[in-house]
Amino acid sequence: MAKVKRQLAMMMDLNKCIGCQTCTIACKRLWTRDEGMDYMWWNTVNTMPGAGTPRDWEEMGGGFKDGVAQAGRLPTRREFGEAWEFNYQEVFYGGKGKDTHLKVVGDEPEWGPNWDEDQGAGEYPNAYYFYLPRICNHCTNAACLEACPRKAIEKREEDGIVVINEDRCKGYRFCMEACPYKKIYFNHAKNVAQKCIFCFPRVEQSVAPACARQCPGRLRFVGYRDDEEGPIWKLVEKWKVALPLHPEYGTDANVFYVPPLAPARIDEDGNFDESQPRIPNEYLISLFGEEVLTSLEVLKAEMAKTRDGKTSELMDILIARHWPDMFGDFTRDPATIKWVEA
Amino acid sequence: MEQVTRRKFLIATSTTTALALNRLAWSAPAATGAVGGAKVDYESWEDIYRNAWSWDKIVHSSHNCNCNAACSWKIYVKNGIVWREEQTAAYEQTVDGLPDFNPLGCQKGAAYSHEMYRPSRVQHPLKRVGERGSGQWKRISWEQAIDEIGTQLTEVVRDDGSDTVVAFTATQGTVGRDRFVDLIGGVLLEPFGEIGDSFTGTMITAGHQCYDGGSDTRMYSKCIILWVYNPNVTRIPTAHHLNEARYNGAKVISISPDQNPTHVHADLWVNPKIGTDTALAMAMAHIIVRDGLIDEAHIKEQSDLVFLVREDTHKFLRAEDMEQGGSDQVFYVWDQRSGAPAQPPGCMGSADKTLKLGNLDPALSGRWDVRLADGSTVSVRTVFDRLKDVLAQHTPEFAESVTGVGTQAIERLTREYATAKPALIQIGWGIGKLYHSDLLQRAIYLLAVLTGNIGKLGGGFWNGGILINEGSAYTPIPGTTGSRGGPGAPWLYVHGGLREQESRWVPTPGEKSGDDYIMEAIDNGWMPVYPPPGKDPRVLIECGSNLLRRTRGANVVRENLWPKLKLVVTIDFNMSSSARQSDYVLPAAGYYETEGLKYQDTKIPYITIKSKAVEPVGESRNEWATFALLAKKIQELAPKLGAKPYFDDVLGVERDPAKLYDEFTEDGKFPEDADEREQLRRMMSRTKLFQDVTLEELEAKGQMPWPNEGFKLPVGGSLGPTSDYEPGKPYTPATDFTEKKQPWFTLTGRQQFYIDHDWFLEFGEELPVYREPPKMGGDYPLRMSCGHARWGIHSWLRDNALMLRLQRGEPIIYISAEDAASRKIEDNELVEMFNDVGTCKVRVMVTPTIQPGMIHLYHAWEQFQFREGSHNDVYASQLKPLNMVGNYGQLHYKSGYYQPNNVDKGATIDVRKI
Amino acid sequence: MKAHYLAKLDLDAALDPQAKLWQDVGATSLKLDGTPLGLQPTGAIRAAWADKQIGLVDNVGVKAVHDGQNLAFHLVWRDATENRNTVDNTSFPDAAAVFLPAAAGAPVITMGAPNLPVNAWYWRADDLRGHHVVAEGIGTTDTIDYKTVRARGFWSQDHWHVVIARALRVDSPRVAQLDASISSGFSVAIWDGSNGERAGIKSFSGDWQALKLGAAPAART
Repeated sequence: MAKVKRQLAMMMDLNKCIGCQTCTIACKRLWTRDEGMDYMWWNTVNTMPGAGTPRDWEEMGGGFKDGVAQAGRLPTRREFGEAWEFNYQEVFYGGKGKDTHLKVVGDEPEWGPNWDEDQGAGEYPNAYYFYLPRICNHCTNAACLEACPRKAIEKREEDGIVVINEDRCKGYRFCMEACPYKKIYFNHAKNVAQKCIFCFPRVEQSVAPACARQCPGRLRFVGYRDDEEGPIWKLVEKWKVALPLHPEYGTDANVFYVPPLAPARIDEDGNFDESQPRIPNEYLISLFGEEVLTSLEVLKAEMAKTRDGKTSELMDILIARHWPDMFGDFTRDPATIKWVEA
Repeated sequence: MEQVTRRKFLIATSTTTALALNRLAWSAPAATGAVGGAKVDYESWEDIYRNAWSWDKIVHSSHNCNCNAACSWKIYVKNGIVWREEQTAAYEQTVDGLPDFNPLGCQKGAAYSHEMYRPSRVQHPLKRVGERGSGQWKRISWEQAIDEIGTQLTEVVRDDGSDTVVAFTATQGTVGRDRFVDLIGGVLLEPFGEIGDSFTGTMITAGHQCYDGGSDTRMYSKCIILWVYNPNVTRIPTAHHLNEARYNGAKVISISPDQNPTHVHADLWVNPKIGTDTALAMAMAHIIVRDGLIDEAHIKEQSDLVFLVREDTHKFLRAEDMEQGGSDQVFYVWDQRSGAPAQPPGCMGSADKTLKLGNLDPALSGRWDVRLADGSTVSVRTVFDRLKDVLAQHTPEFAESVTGVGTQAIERLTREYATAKPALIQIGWGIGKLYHSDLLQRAIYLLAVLTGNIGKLGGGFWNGGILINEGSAYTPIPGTTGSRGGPGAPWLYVHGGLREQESRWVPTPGEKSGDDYIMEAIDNGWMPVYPPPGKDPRVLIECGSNLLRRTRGANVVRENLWPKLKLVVTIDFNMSSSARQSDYVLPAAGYYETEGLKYQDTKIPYITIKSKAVEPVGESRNEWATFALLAKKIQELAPKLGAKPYFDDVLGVERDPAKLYDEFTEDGKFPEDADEREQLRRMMSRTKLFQDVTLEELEAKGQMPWPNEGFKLPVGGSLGPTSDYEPGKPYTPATDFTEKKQPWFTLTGRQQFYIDHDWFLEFGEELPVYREPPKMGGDYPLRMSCGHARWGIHSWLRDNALMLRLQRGEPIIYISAEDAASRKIEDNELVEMFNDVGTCKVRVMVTPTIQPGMIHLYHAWEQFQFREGSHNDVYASQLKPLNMVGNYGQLHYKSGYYQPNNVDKGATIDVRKI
Repeated sequence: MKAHYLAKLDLDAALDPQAKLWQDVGATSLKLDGTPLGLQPTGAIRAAWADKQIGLVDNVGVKAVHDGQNLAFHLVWRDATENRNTVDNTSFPDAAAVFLPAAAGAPVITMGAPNLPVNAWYWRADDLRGHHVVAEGIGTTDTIDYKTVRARGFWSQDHWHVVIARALRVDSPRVAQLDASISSGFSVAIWDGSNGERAGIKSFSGDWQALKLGAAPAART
């Protein structure tokens, strides 16, 4: 395991995510615009239950079990979702009138990075779904780091961000097989693996990562894990309502989630049925482990307090009335930076 | 692939120390050294990323789309190109304790830098060389375009009359277009009803169209009902306030037939069958009255529920009934103190313009006999009692039978709402797209009035909420004549060939057909149509509008209207559905390419600048320039072509085409190349909202809080603030009425539930009541639901590649698992959607989140995104006659006000495997 | 194996595996084995390949020629699929490399060792350039340039035919410097892209094989 001095983390409150994908676009417009990056979405948001991005990634293996590396497989570009191009010129200027329509150039798509948006699972009127944003988890026990025979993946000592050294990488992609979250992409034009960099150029200038700073839902908190004054520590260590995704993957992820509540079920008479939660416990346990049940109970108890007109530290943290409080030491406005030619 | 220049950098800031120069010589752990030991200057992979995140300049701008938000963005320009954008996110909390508005902005705004550089963007003037719609274009010069269009316009003014020159305001109003159409004497069709956005029920009840409070004030709510409202999809920048309110103790209740994205974060979700919501609302009112959960004080002072209605005529008791020469706009309550009928102040005809009751104590309930001026005696009852009669039919059991929502749920829902202090109900723009939308709005509004939540901080009844009167096209512009305006839906009914289709399923109480009522309203002048029926329109100018994309029955309109038009011009960024059918397409400058302001919305009390970051792309121009050039050409040609001065007897003004440019530019003060910033400065100087705000300050900050509530419209207004505003004070609407006791803009001067217009009485809708949704579309088993998408603002961005990659690449409809199974339809299959109006081929998503019996689709797909037909072909929109009344108190047409809606929710359809 | 001496080696011509000059040169058949699972350097790789066959290619025919200036290897092996395209994540190119010691005692099994580099002349089917590579142990391969080694291949009827060539001596540290008078060693590795072979997942000819550069014929008097 790589030793770091401090570890940055991100916390996402799934009771606030509305699936708008602003984080997805923010990251895309910042980092993944160059050759070979067309199909990359380092940040993804998927409707869950759902196959996710890449499709069925939870069945692709990787990670660790009892400390032993597990076999994983490589997702194809199709499984991530191809970067569809469209026949605009033909439709707009090709003189074909009604004989043509806007379509994807090439094969008809069968999957995309948000294909099953809002589709959900279960049965009406008790179907259920929520939105799950994901980035690289910058794991403490990163499977990708272990997997690389060239040691081209490193954890930065100063903040624990896991980075692929693109000068060392030879595009072997063992890291892609090993990562159980399937958050690594292959750039065929540069022959290197690439993934979320936790916006380290921004972080180095005390600016929060773009996905967090640009999120209109205000659900992404950023901070050091050891900062006891900050929201990350309070939600993960003190309140214990923020949990890593798939802890059984054994990589010690540093991205955490407050699990989602859902509205009351409806029985066959059309009345509210609060005897069981809408999102089945088993499903949330399969994502976050058994602790998720406690986490939900704590959440509900604190929400009951504010309904009663009482105060709650947990609710105040999650509300984050003063938006900069969500980002710890990373509250700088990027516009205060002036670039100068060297 | 965009060009991104990599630069070495040295960071110099006031708050961080400059980085050491040796950073540039970063060496990777295992140096990929050079051949032969020669030192090669290279950037490490880390420096490449660091250098990628750099820019030359930042400009504050925004997106002038019709999204109901006004978000400030920083536009990052690199090497003369917009590289990307990021929200300004510099909003302070409006009030301590309320969450601030940061960062404000959505994925669409974040993608605009991608959209503006689309290779397929219209960058040059185009002239069609094939049939309309053939897609055959020739690039021409601006000079040729202006010359040809100007010539044709001049000829039409001369030969057909300027009232045959038509433009739709649609959703992106621009000062240039509106000024041009106004001065040429053309027709400016306004969007509300034409789009389906007209809040008819709100206008009927409150005399006001749009109003809601500051988004952050929901922190004061204890219960928030979201009804026909999908903020997680349509209010992305401010949706967080809802979730924060929930954490702060508000019960959030979402009401929709489907399990839409907003229900995901609600505490309770209620699912009436599509189109049956009114029965639910009325049952809630039934329970509130039954259990005495009413706010008598509010009802007595602020509503007509205490007004007296004659039992014989079912009309209000009026002063004209009770005294010789009495007004027909002054009414009565039963004063319990004096035991006699008394005239409350504040009615439309009252001398005393206040709602203060003084010594009056109106009775809520009762029946009395009164002596009229002519000596006869009539029985009168309060509106409240008549309402109770109606509510007696709308029991929870009745609602259950109609909506499918259980009686226990209805009781629980009502109790949650009625006992929460304060409680808020929010409705969205989608509500207008139900046929009986007015009844639903009135019923919902009734709940807020019965419980006295109106005017309460964190409570009340919120809808749309636009404050367009500042800083945009609706600002009074010097020299304009008032425009020959009109509501779009009746216009298309007459001139678009939609008479048969849009009246076919209109339910009527007697022998008169829907078309009879509708044409009567038009012939009465209640809903103005220019040019009048019988005279054909000749020119259509589309600017900020995409008529053929949005109009229900677009294929019918294309077939009937287009042949009448000698000239169709579209000014747009992209080759939209309407542009495709045009004769000329002129390139419009994009959002970051012009100066402007974003319109105001009461939910977001901030002024937002939209500064120019780069020059217009290609040959595109801002619309002011385009219309100025057209005006110039017309002025030049008018004498040569014999387009003489004439008297416009509709608006009562002299018009002279040979003076058009002078008038448009205010005698050359604002020509085609006018300094846009100076134009902004002038606009700002004319509006109350910007007093003491300088352009420079706004440009430097990107956004500033409102200094005041802006210009309050006169009586009968529809868009505009209904409360005062000052920084540090949370904005809640309606306090002008509830606290200052100013009369509401209605006939009774109050929130009015009894409408004693003859038509309303004929239709039995004088009070809110449940009516079954008509089977518009024919006898088909499924009902359509439609809503605004998260992936576009109307058609803006609907065909953008980044957006499409995060969907399925093409339009889809949503079908329930049950209905798909019985039709043997599988996910992503291509199916046919059809009814008596038309058909369309489209792919489906099969999902358990859709209510059986309904098909859902998100709107605004361009026509060219469908393989065959389009969803507009099955929208069996019907015009509701009651929404065309124009001679009753608050029910009269004016711009931005009462008018019928084009509707699509509840259209009957079926779907079959192909 | 002997690298035949040619008076003049036209590299441009020789890079065509079907050039006439190759037809007169005898081939040495080398048996290839997959690199052992236990030698794979990370747990993830060992886990992923535990149930898969490492090294599908089991034999390669090798020829070599030189003219005292340049040395060219000609490789032929059987591979049912031509894997050139590497756009997809799961696509790996077919590839081949000739290994030579860059220092006396450099171990080829471990891809060299610290201060004991091995030098690889590497061809891959998705690149027209030859790669000049050094390594000082597993996981340390460095492509030092793309000019020194030249390589070309074509695939036909289930076989790859590849020529890889370089100057005998180059001005570069850490690479093999060859001399007609010195005996050297060589080893060959083949990667079958269709099997996802790359890095240490390959077919390998094992420890150094002898490589003798044939001498010029003695001058006749």
